[in-house]
Amino acid sequence: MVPVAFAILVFIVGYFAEETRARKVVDWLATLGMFCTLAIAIKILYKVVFGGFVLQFTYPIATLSMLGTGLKVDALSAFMAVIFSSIGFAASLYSVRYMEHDTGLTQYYVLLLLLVASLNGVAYAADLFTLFVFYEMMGISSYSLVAFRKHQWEPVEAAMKYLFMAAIGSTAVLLAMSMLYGLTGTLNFEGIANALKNAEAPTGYLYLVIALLIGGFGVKAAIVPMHSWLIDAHPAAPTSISAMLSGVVIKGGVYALVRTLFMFFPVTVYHWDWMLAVIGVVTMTVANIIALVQEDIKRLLAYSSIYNIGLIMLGVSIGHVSVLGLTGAMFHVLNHAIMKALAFLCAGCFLHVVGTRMLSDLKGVARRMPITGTCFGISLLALMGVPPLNGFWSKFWIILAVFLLPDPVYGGILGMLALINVLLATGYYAKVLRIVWMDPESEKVKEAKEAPPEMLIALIILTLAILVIGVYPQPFFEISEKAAESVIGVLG
Amino acid sequence: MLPYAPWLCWLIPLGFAVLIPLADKIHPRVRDGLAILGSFLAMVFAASMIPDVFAGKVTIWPDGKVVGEIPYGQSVSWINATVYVNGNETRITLGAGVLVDPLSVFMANIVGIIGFLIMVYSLGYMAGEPDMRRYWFWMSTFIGSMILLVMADNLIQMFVGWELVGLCSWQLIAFWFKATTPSPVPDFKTEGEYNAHCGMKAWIMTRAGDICLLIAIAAIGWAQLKAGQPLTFKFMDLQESTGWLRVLADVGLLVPISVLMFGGPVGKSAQFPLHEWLPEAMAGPTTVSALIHAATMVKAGVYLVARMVQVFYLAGESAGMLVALKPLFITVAWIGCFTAFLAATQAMVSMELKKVLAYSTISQIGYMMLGLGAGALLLIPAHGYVAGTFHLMSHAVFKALLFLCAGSVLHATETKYMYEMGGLKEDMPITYWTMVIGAASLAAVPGLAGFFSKELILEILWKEGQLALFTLATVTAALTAFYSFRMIGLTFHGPKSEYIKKREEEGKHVHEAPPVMWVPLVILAVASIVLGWLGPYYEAFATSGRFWVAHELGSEVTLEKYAHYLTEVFATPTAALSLLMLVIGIVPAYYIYIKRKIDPAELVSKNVVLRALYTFLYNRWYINPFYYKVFLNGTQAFSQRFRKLQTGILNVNVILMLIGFVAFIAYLVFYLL
Amino acid sequence: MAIDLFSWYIGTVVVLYSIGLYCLASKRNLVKMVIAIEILLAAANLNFIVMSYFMRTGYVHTLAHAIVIISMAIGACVAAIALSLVMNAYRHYKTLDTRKMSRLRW
Repeated sequence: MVPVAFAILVFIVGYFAEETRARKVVDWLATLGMFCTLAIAIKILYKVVFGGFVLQFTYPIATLSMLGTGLKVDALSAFMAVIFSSIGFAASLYSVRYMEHDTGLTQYYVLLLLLVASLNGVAYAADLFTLFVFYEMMGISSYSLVAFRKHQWEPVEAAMKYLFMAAIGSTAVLLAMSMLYGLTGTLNFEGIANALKNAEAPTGYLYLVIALLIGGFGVKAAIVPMHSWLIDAHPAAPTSISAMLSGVVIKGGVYALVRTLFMFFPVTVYHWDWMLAVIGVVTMTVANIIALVQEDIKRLLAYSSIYNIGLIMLGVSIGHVSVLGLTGAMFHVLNHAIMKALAFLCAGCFLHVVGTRMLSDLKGVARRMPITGTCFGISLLALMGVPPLNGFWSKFWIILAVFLLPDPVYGGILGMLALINVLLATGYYAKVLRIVWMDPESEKVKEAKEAPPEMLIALIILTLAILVIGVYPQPFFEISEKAAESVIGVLG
Repeated sequence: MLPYAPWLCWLIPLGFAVLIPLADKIHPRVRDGLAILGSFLAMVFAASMIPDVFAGKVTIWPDGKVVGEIPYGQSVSWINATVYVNGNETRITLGAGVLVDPLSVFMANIVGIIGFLIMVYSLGYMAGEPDMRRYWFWMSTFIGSMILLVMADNLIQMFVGWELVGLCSWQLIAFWFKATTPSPVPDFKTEGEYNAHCGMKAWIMTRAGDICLLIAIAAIGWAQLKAGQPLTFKFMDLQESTGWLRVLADVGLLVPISVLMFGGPVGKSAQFPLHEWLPEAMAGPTTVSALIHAATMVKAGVYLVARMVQVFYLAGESAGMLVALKPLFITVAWIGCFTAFLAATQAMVSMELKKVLAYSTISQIGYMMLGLGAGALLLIPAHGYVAGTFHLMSHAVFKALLFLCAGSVLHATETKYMYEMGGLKEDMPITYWTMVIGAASLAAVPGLAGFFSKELILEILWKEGQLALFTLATVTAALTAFYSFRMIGLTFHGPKSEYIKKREEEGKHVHEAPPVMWVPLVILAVASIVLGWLGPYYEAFATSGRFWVAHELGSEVTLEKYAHYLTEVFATPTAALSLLMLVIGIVPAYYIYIKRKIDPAELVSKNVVLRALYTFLYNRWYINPFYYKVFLNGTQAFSQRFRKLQTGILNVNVILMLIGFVAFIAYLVFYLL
Repeated sequence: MAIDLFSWYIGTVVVLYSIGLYCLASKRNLVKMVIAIEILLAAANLNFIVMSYFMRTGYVHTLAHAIVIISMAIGACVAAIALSLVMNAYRHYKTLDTRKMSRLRW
């Protein structure tokens, strides 16, 4: 019931926002809506993880009740929903000042709230159809948000590419869904899982379904070679949306992939693990190589998102052998959402103040904006994987899990490739840090001043999160572990 | 020890580091005081652990309660994770812990004491600099994380400190990124850009080593799981259990993995092939070079080697597999020896005062590695261990001294090139004499710290008949003597250079450093004279605890034993040989650079062989250009070409995507068949 | 006979899907690409009905109907956004050629 309640809450807020014309009211109302969403999501997480509480919602309509439960919350979905809502909260808090010069803010906030609502819907969905509907809703609101500044050429072109590629992915998912429906007669997660468990040897259809699911959800998750929309869409979107896209929307794809693959297709039968591992390594490598020579700060961060997705995929791919891999991947989903959202929001501050995204024009900007600069520095160090920050722990666990695989050749080669990528990534993060902190100031930043306080609050919250998780990761790690176990079902 | 000393000695500097930006808001003096106080407290807490190590048991100071024996560990739970391998559940518990044993206490004290002295020296040296907030912040963080590194009782926590010191090193090398003077290297516009580049180079190169280290750590974890042991990364547990070593040996990974383990130290301690960052690290303030790139951080690698040689050796001994570990110890010894030689040759032609010192640091660390590796190789690790760490200590002292002297000179002359100095002897008497003591110690003149410790290393090689290593190490000793006195000669003797004369015409006379700077110099100079003679005490200290069979001297040092020790040191053939090498090194240096009888430029330009050699050495054996060409320009060029794949045309994107789909399906169909 | 019909249906789905993909990969005109997306969607929707038919011959389950109708609605939303983007793109670029729309690259 609760997810529906807050979906409705979001709609009400959106509707209310449309009615009101006073500008600031809309902003703060939306932020309040986000905050409520976050609070509810945290409460659900708390109940699910510590109370062993399972939340279910069944469609009241007779036809759809065929689907079985519509929404169901387990540790993984509650965990993802908290990540989605918290980044949504930070982004909306940040938008209050960031978007102040734009028009059509009402639509903007409605779309942003819808985006978070649909992300949460994706996380809580208990059958493929509900998941698909929310997934599409997420897509639709994010296309619109990318193209929000439609009077410029860049967002339009980027949204265009995003839309076409994501739409192909969606149809692939729909096709896979229809096949699963044909083979099992249901779309409910548990129903499909049970039906497939009883099936005999895997048929060619099921392999096709796996390929379509990986490909289809992989478009949103931005795995190589389905990634090319991301690097256009992330830089072009307003920064708060970039943070949302990089921080959580691509994680929506990852979540759907994890959910379907782990629930339906036991890896011992279907052997998709190698494939995901190869995808992970290729994704990392391609993204890192191209990122090394980027001149645009947001584009560079977008490539680094792809790299992190590769790392998460690597962790997911070994999830069946050791829970540690999936735990690390889930922990990295959380950490990467925080780090990357922070990095994008800081880049947005630079953009807001200096008015350019080119690294050559941002030389020395952090010296003019010390608080933003410090937050940006911490986020990049965390992305680099410097120990007492959160990024280190999740990368460490993923890579350790890869090395701990029983087969030393498989684990060793994958782990070394991942570590080489960590080194490559260090190169470009260090370059960005050098440029914004150490290079002599360029002409454009001479006049730069510190960003307004509303924006800084969002930055500081995220920075504190990085530090807290970095120094004492245990509680967060434990929750990720619960989430990973819930999908693998080891303890269940 | 003082209560909670093993924790507080690193928590205090780290905590103070966080307070420094706040204190800066109150008053700059508060900030400076806080930084000095932090390092002082760290030193006090670290020093309070020394008596415990000598006594062999840990006594809490005010109430005299005995809480345990050396090695003494304390640990709290930090992260717990579950690993399932093939259905078996294994719990990993990562503790945050401290380990009090001779090695860690010894390292913590080096960091604490030298750190404190250099912080005091900074008060004078860095006076009037802008951005002191940043300087103190990173310096305090460095001291804290370095002590964290050495006090940690497990590999993961050590790795945290390990990365943190690397980060501090990056930031401090690049400290003067705002400098607007022209760059010393043509690739950059200003010196600031050059400094920032040097810092980054250090960071990325050391991280390359760290990655090897991580691979090794993870592989040890894998072996433990395979052996059915509980997963642990604690040093003490690792050296007491043998299963992981056997598993590694069974799959033939023992040597590769253990060599990778030394990849971390190779990066951090600037050994071949990752040594190229250290000469560039001299772009930082001299205090930073002295603390981080001479006395402490680069020794982190030596520390880890000492730790891990101990772990590998003891685990190997109880598993009866020392023979299988031999290639590892040979590798360590040869890497050390070759690096010592390589860096010494480069130091002979270097033009910058601090770069000479940097090369000599690399070279001396090579000696330490040689001692550690050779000692374990010869199945008497206690010797090698004592020799290596003893050399570490004396080097920390005399190299910090040399750097601080160089700092005074640089402060006074405002140039870093030795050919722009000359004839400073009369103007800076204290600096001159302390620097001569430092250089003599570096060159291993008998009676100074460097002599005793280097002697121990050579003696091990001689005793066990490692002639190739011994020859290379002895030749390096001659080179060391040559470049040490070349440095002294170029800087302080001969006529004053044009540059100094010009400055004097402008009214800027070279002057002696202020007391806050020369007092640490004198302390360090006295220490480098005294330390060598304390050898037996050091051996007693290092061999206490239960890791190592006590050296023949035992833990009680009497006068008789002391005399015996001295005669042993001076009466060996190696002592005579190294004296000979000293003479071979010093005499040409004396004639060419101190008396200025022969013009080196003329000598080099006349002789073709010498000229070729000079060019080869001056270009650092072409290793540095090679790295730039392959790893920097090569990757960049490849990326530039590779990024063209991202055409931005929607049709092409769709086609790539379809290729992806086809590949996925093909892969799965392949599996189906 | 029913089985024969089934393979015809499946064949139609495959052909439709392939046409859509071919169109997306080769056509330069953005409007044609929007149409291609619609074809893909139609193929997927058709597959739902076919699959329902496959489960019990001669009878299409209401669930499949419901799903197809909802997914068509979603498809309409996507198409609407796509078309509005096409319009905006035309405003900025004065062309509908995708190859001209590659200012964002590398």
